[in-house]
Amino acid sequence: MALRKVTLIIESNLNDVPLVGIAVNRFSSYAAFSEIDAFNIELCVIEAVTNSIKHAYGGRSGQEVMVTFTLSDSEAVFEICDKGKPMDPEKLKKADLAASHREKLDIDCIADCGRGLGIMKEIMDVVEYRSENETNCLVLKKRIL
Amino acid sequence: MEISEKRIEDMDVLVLSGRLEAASAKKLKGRVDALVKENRVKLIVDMAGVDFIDSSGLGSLVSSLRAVNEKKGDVKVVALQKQVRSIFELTRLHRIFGIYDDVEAAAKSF
Repeated sequence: MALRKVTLIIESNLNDVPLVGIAVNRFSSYAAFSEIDAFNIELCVIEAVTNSIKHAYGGRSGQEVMVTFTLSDSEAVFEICDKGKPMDPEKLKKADLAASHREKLDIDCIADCGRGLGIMKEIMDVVEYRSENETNCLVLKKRIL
Repeated sequence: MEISEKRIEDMDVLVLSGRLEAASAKKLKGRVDALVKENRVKLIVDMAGVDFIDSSGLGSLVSSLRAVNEKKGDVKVVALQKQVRSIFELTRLHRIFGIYDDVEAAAKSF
């Protein structure tokens, strides 16, 4: 099957993020992911878009976040891109939900520390980050079994 | 997300519906902060109508728990949908919240 691709662009407004989530969930169902996988993929994309708005753009509206969904026979790939402040790549390397499980649950950290990247790494097969030409992209890949 | 409220004896039940995520998390936290100011710290959060939650939504629940714990209160979570419960388990939050099937069971646990 040839690659099939669709791109969504939303303004950096948290109120619009559910629109992307709902679309991603439908794309994922179309790609034959299970209901629970489609929910989890939606969660990961929502986390990534929210990070772009909150951290890359510092919560400023009027900017763009672009979500590209590419489907092949073997995997679904989601690229979430912004043109804001780049993320420190170390944050992605250090994000590890499994490691935090092994330690004592810290209620203060759970409330205040971002868990989004850890959730993405737990759910998706591949989570990569690149920042080039003033564009930052988080790439999420999920194999189709 | 919508929040409606009811009172059972000295407990407050917050009935949530919709998506608990970054845009709506502040609404929940704001409501809980207002209750805590009035020393109403026995809270039951009915999530039967919540069909999506993200880390911001989880964060708002945890910061609510922290706020009521400081006044010797507690937050009990009720009626999680299957997928929402799976996110509680993925993030291990099922270990810090009392999770119950219904409001009655949560009320008895106080």
